[in-house]
Amino acid sequence: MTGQWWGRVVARDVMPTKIAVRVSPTENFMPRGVSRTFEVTIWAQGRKRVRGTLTAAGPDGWELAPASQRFELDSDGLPVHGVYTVSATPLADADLLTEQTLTFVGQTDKAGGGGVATDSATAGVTAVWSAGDVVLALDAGPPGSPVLEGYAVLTPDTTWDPTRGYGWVGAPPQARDRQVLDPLRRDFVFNREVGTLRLAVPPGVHRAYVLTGDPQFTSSHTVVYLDGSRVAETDHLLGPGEFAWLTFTIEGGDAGRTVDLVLDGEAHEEYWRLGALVVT
Amino acid sequence: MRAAGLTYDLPTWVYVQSFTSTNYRRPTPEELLWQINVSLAFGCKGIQYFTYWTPEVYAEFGPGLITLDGQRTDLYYAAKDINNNWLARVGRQLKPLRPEVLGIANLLDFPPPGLPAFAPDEYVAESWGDPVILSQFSKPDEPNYRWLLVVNYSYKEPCRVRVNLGRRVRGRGIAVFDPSTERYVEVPPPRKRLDIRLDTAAAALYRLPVRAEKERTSR
Repeated sequence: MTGQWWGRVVARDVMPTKIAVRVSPTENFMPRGVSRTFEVTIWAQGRKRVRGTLTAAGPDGWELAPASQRFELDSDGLPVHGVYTVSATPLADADLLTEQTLTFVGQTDKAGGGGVATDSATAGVTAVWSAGDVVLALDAGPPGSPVLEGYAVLTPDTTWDPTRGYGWVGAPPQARDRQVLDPLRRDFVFNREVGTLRLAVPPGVHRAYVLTGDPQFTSSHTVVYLDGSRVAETDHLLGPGEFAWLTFTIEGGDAGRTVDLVLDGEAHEEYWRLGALVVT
Repeated sequence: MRAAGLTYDLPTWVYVQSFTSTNYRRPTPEELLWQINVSLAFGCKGIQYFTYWTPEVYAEFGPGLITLDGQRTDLYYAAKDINNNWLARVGRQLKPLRPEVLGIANLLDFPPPGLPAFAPDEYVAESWGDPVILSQFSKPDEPNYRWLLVVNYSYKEPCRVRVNLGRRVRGRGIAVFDPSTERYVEVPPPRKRLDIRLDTAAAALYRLPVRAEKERTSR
């Protein structure tokens, strides 16, 4: 950068402004209609005060607020940071079970010395059903672990209760909370012995979705039996942090009925895992 | 370790990872150099390789610098190059020096535990560019000099950084250590400014002529 001074070209010794954008959490399962706060940390280094704009953008069906906000950091030559929040909400038409990307871009103003600097960060988000839109939405895990907003709790202690309409029959499973990721994926119930989950299904044809996987360990095959038939199974061993939705149909008949989902584990360590169950 | 060594005026040693195991991947030659230069910045006076020979007792251990059957690995040759052309030479300069101030400059993130953020002082006033570790050293019997070791914080890419020196540093006589000749070479103008390019994981040692405290306060 140069400037004129008494007819001479003088090199200006200007510290270039630079910024870095970070976001937390970097991934999330979120029910439609439920807002979650993302913390965006902006680091900046410039000669003096660094001003700029933080913008947030997402796919169709997602609402981000504010979509744009100003930031101002007193750098004075050293790296400094500020934390800004953006609320993200998957709306009723947000795609289900598809990982999508929220993008957060920080850009400094042109004025202020050192030119424009920009950086961005992304968060992977997946919309899941709102509990109010489905017949049954269960979040499995040990007692006391976090539960996804609106979802009902399924722990090893949840024995069959006709009034409640779901629960374990026979030997209860075990449960783990890995304490990483979102409430839906961080915890689950599992066992080496088969588990029988009884459901009261209303009349009609329903689609069932079983979330399986483990945030930290390789999962054995999870297999689901319904009415004595093998109706769903994982098609490969899920690695640490890898999840799958197993899906199948449940016939409720004209009057509704009670069904038993039998969960079994195959291959590897032969543990089945269930993180969530949704019946639409 | 650095704090304990400085508190009790004891030299600290370190061993750098030069092996593979189930829990540790094999370091690259750049990561080997990075471990060494960061250790020098922290003031270590002894640097060892862990391991030189591959341990026989643990099945999960991969090769060290030398394989179990005595073959030299790529890391052996990397260590040989580092030792002969950098560490032994810069080590002779750093060994008699006392570690002073340490900090990470230009890092747009929280510094890792034990590594404070750079803070301007009378010797180093300002820095910008890519992240570097700035480590100052002194020598009691040479109070007219201060040494500055600049270490590239990245073990993945080269860096460029500017360091503006502080008011106690004299404008003339600033020099950079040349490991090939083991001599200090005067840095060309502009004075009191260091424009530094470092290879991946590399470091540079500067000798800064400084005004004594007495001289400065008498003005």
